Amino acid sequence: MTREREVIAVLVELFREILGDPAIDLRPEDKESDIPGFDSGKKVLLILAVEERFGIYTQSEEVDGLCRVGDWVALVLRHSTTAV
Amino acid sequence: MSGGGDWRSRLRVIGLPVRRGPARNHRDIEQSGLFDLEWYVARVPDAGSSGLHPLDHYLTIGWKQGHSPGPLFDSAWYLHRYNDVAAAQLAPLIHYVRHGRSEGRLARPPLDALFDGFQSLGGNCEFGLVQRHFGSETLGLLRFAQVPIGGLIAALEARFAAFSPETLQVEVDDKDEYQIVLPAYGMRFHTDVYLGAVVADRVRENEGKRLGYLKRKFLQDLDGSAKTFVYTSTWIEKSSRKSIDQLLETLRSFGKHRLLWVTEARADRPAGSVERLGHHLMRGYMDRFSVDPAQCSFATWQTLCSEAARRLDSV
Repeated sequence: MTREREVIAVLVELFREILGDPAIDLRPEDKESDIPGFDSGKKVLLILAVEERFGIYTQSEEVDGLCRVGDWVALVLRHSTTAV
Repeated sequence: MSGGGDWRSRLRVIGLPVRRGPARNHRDIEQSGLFDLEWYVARVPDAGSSGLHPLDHYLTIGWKQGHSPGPLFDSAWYLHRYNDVAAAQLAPLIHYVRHGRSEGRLARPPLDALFDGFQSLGGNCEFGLVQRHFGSETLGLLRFAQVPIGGLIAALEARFAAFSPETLQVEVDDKDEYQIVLPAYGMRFHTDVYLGAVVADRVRENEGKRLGYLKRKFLQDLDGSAKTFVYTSTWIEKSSRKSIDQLLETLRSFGKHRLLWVTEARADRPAGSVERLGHHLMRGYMDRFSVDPAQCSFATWQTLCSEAARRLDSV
């Protein structure tokens, strides 16, 4: 499994838990706004969960640039130096 | 309201000249509905006294001065976005109705991107709701908060030092919504969580985390690149110019930020218009304020923010 796929697998787990929808599946091209239940309040909880899970610390402008699932994957890969 | 209809009779009623330029230009634009006569005349004072039909004013003078023909077409943005149109020195609305529209070009910036360009400072949550209406889900500490301007300035000056999980209090409003109160700055945050859904201690814990992250992000934003902040003076608090100047000065102590101060319209300042009060301060005018989506004046907010963005681009 590539690192991108590993990261997406963890993101799916976190999105399902925080958005309360076990049916959520994620593809890199999916827009945040198309994910059921996603809004700004949930996004904050997702960012905190991603930071904790991957041991990373995000900057505001990076978070402002998150639009698609692929952006989240790139953010994690850019920051994390250890395997998932 | 729209550009269609019998212009000659409408121009006579409001006392403007009825002389018209090339018929094809008028026909094409009239059919597009993108030239809003009353909107244009209200925002371009010269248009009513130039002796030209207002549309001819736009086609010969107005677009070169950066004016838009109506709220649904953004001349300056169109020229900035499409270099080939700018190079052709063609009135952007003519290009759009004859070529741009069929080529799939945009008449104005996508609205979520437009509203992403602003960050709310309160005083209430109306602008946050407006952003959501237009598809903009920005992460702002004060987006859904009631914020008195004095408390806001004090918080900024102290970098929200009095903001910590221990200082946040939980209250329930008259609609049974939990709210987080920060007494030191008189701030009140919506939670969108209602009595009975969870216990107050859980609200404090969850909101403490959420607001704690948003505080961190807000301080990063203040220390970062230039932002355009929006402060709305509503019925809750009529801010004075002096306090707005103080707010701007405080924002500028962090970075090259700008402030859009939004107030009620006046007889000489129509709803949706924007007045520049200084290099970094603009004042926008609304016909009404409401946090009820059924009453909120979304179209006026759109006009106001488009105009503010246009003025920012022209600086």
